[in-house]
Amino acid sequence: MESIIETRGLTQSYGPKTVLHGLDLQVPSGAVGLLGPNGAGKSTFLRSILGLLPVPEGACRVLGHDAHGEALAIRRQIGLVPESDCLIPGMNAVEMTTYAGELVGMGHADAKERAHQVLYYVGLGEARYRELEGYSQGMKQRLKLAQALVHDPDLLLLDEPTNGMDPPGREQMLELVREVSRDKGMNVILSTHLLPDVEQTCDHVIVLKEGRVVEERSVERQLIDAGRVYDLRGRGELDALADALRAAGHEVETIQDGLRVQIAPDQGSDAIFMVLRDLGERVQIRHFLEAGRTLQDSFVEAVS
Amino acid sequence: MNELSATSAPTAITPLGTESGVLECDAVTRWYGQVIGVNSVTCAVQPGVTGLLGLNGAGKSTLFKLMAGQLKPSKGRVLLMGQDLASNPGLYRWIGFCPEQDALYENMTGREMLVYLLQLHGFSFREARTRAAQALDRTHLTADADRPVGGYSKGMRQKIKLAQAMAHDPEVIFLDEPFNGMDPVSRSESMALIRELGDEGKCVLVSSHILHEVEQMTSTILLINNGRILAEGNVSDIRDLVERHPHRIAIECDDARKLAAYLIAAEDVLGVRVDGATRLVVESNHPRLFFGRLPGVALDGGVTVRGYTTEDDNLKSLFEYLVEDGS
Amino acid sequence: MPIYEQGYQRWNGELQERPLRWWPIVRQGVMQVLPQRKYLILLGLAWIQKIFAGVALYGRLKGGDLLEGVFGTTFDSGAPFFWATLNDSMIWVVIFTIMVGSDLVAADRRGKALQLYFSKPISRNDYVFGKLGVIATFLALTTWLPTLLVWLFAVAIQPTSAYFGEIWYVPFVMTVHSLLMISTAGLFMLAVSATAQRSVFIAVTWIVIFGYGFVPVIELVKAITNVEVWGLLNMAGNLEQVGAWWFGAEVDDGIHPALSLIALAGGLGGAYWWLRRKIEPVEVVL
Repeated sequence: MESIIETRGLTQSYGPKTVLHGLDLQVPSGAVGLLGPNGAGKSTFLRSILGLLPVPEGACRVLGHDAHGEALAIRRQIGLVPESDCLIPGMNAVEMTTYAGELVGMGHADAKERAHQVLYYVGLGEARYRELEGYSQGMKQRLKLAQALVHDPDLLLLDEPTNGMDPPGREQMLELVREVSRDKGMNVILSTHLLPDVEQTCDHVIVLKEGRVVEERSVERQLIDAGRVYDLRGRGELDALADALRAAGHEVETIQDGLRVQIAPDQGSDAIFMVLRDLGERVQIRHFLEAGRTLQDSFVEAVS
Repeated sequence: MNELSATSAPTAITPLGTESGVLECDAVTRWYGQVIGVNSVTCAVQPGVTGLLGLNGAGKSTLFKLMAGQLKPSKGRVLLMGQDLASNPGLYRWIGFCPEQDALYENMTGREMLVYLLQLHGFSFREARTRAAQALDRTHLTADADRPVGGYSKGMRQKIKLAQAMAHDPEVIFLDEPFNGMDPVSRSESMALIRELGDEGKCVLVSSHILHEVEQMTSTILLINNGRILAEGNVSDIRDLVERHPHRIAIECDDARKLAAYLIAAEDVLGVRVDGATRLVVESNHPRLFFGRLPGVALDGGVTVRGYTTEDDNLKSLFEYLVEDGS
Repeated sequence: MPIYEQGYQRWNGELQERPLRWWPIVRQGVMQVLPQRKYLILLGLAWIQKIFAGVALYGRLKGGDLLEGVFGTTFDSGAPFFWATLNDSMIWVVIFTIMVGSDLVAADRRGKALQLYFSKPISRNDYVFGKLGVIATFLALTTWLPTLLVWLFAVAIQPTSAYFGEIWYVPFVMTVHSLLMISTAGLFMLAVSATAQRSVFIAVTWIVIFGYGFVPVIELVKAITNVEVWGLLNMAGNLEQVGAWWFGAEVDDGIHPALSLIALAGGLGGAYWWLRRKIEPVEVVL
């Protein structure tokens, strides 16, 4: 898996404060989540990628170009969905998206055509002639996505793209991002504090803290001990279940809405089912899954 | 300056119809010119944590502000502990509000700001300092308490807002997207804090779009759609009532078809979809029966189940079902 | 294929090889404003002023003797006439710079649009040049272009080599001077627009810096200290000084035009530096 971004010893400071400390990072292709506490250097890193900051120390290569000297070439291939609202007043969606395309270097006719296409994709098809001032939060977020996609970039940078959107809106937004990434092969970097969003859209996660990488892992659950540890969640007489499991020789730990069970070494995975069968309708276990280290677990560990 | 000690709130709670609660809405309507924001809403919020949900534009923020006393109803009354909020400004002493917007005193330190606000509520300087320190401690802001708020990160700003909403020991706390800008660790800590506040008997109303987090804090929701209450109460109870969408359980096992055949034999299963050799999805309207039965069926049939999960047993799916059916 | 893909589609087009990066900015800025009625009316008025100039020129060239007889003085029709015509346009410079330029950068800062611009392959200089181009379009349309047309008119109605010998260099000087005037007025306005938000405040600040507002103060200081050099703070005055010098018209004895030119260059540099400082930090992420 090639990396789309490589930094080596990248150091960035704002005046006296050093924000990135010799960052050594390789961002793989595909959909990558960028996590980290406030002040970890995420924004500085993204600015460096966009070539908006000089590179005093270390090296930074993006999509095959040097961030130091070829910033404009890099930005031709990147689309940014910024966190804050950004509106150019007095325009409607079509005009703004066309303008965004022209700024990248598309011809006017190309930009206009593509703007319509992209606006339909993000779900603004019907509202595209309306003035931006009247847009709801969800519409603004979609418009930001449209202007980032208009030139079909190789890398899409998103910063809190579901900000302020209601549950169906969030779902649609994440679905849009997942489609361009999984189905159409666009590289995506998603910077957010919402772990479920990352789980839903990304393959890989990078955690920054104080200007350094503290964790890098795949988004999939990392099984604690395949076939031996299970999480049971559900309703009913969970205490009775816990007792029965312990009586059968298994180790039981309470978790939110359920139990974590470590099967006794001499027994197989059916053992839990045997206990459950005996309890019948007294317990309804709605989730029965191999226990794994979630993103939340990794994050907490990495950051403390 | 008056010295207010942490006495309990006035206890006269007038029952409203059959439901009574700390916070009640009695046929509350609010319009903006021709547009109706909230349409004759009657509901009651009990002590504990309640999630306020709704689409953008459905009246959620209007209802939120009405209940917190930030807006006056065009018709109807909002009752706090049995008294009309609109005509009893003294009740604001018992309300804590954490707004979505950022309107903080940038030049004060966190501690100073809290002390100041507490003094506005009537606490003495000493009492205010003590309470401020407690609030800072509970929101994990003690380390940054003596720096100017202007220099706070987004997450810290949220925390100080949270702190000022609870420092004066209110009975009812309103939180509007309280975790906006917080990193996962802070979110987790804050969720725990909110659960604590609910356990202490306070009425905590959390308005949020992040359903995943709401369900970690509470099982009680208030869902508004098109200006009216669409659902109110415990998530599981509501879920069981949504019969049009039977529960969907995805099962991973070593022989999907074999297990499917056994499962569909009984009446609690409406349908089974086989998805490859090892995965099947079951639809059932009788979860109690089904989950009780499943282990036995698997064992008796000689099928090893590797894992299963109820795909739509979450607030997100429930929300989808309710709103799509209700609109 | 009977069913067409409705999801995201890749774009197979090509980006322009060497696009004029600032051009979309100019175009968008101008097209957003130009169709509005008030601008068209003002443009019309600016041109009418030049038509009067043309008529006056005609009168001087064709009936100069007659006029001299009536009024008793000689009327100039050479280079200084064109200088006066161009200089009379300053009113339009003020009007259009304020109307078009006040919100140019302020709106982008208010709407946080800078992060959009600089996430595209647009350099800071492209942005400055593009925004300046918006102002420049209107200023050129009301000063340089109509004056050039009056010059062409003059050459057309008096095609004598003597006359041409007098005024042949006017287009070149006029172009250089227009560039200087446009850059000065424009950059100062962009610098102020990048600093403040309220249009009234921006307009007043620009007027003061450009010189018009300063004039009484400067005259006062000059009178008190008896040092003429204070006049260099008046940028509009500097422009007049330099223009008169280039066109060969009468120059005010107070300050040498070369000094004025240097002051203008300094002002330009300062405005550019300030503007760059203001657009350097781009809020990309929090």
